[in-house]
Amino acid sequence: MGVKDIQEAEYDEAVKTGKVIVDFWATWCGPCKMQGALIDQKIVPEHPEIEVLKVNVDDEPALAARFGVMSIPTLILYKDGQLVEQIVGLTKPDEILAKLA
Amino acid sequence: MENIIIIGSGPAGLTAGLYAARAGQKPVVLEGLESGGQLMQTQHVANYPGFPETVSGPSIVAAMRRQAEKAGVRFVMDAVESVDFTGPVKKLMTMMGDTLEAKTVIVASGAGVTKTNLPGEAKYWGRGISACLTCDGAFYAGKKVALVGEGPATAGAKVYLTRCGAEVVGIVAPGEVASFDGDAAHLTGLTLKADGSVLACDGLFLVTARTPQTQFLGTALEKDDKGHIVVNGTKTSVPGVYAAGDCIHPHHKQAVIAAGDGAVAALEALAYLARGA
Repeated sequence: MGVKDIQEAEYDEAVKTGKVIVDFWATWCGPCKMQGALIDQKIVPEHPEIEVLKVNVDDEPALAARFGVMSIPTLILYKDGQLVEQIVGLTKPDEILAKLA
Repeated sequence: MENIIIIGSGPAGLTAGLYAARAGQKPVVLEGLESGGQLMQTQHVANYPGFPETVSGPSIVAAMRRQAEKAGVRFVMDAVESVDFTGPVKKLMTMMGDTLEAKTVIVASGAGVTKTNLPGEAKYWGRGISACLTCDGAFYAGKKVALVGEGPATAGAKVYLTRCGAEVVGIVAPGEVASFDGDAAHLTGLTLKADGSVLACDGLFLVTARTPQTQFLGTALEKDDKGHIVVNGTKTSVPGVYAAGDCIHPHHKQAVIAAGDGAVAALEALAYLARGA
């Protein structure tokens, strides 16, 4: 399913089905770079069934506010439209995958 | 196997990379969790030579990085979790799950805020408590924030947060805090030790003294009681492993010193490689 940038208007539709990881990040956030690399290199190639949505909090402050994101990286995990968990801080691929299993 | 792997991408790591790359060694720089290092948190740098007008930390780092890339440094977004320096080949185990091997290693892993370990800190970490102004400052526009820390860095942090649109309601030394308080989801304030009063805030930033980020080394290198790597110049207790910047200096944590260390460490590593050890 791959990785794409997501905007507020498309958000609800995009998380409605399947397994989704929403990655809230920003350019100047060091741990976000590591989080992005872990997802891109360790989850995306091996898990085509998971969709990864990137939210740049500088471009989409309304989405960050809607989910009360006060620290990044923050990940929100969805399964079949249900919010499974909102995780704050750098999180390893195994832990992310376990929560989506 | 690599000739030189550099751990860290602040001024020390970037300068080490520049010198090693210009010597034709194609070094690898592992960026680490705080890519660019502590300068990324500083908006006004007045004591880095060559910039008569004050300059932002991120712009210094960006320029250093461009220069290093141009010289041939290979940047890898990964962080070291543990090391094995027992054999002639140095091994680095990374967060990405790789084991990297090198003839020489330069540790330039820097320093980071010291956690207070006060009640509530772990619970509200990322839920109102942050150590990263540039990551999280903008979330507090129109909200009340406190600074927990001491020294000149708190003044810079206050300016930065004010510019983000936050209201800085207090600057409190870590020793004056009894606990961090909040509801089930989020921090709501901190309790002061002196009179038990509560300073209400939506968030707080730690701007505490800096601790060397050397835990991943375990006992592979000799360290002092605070975790600084013990060095002779930039030579560590293991031949072929060098260290540079804030991870070695108990007192002088300065970008220009880190950059100078990085150059020395690279030259030492090049000499070690030339000896064919």
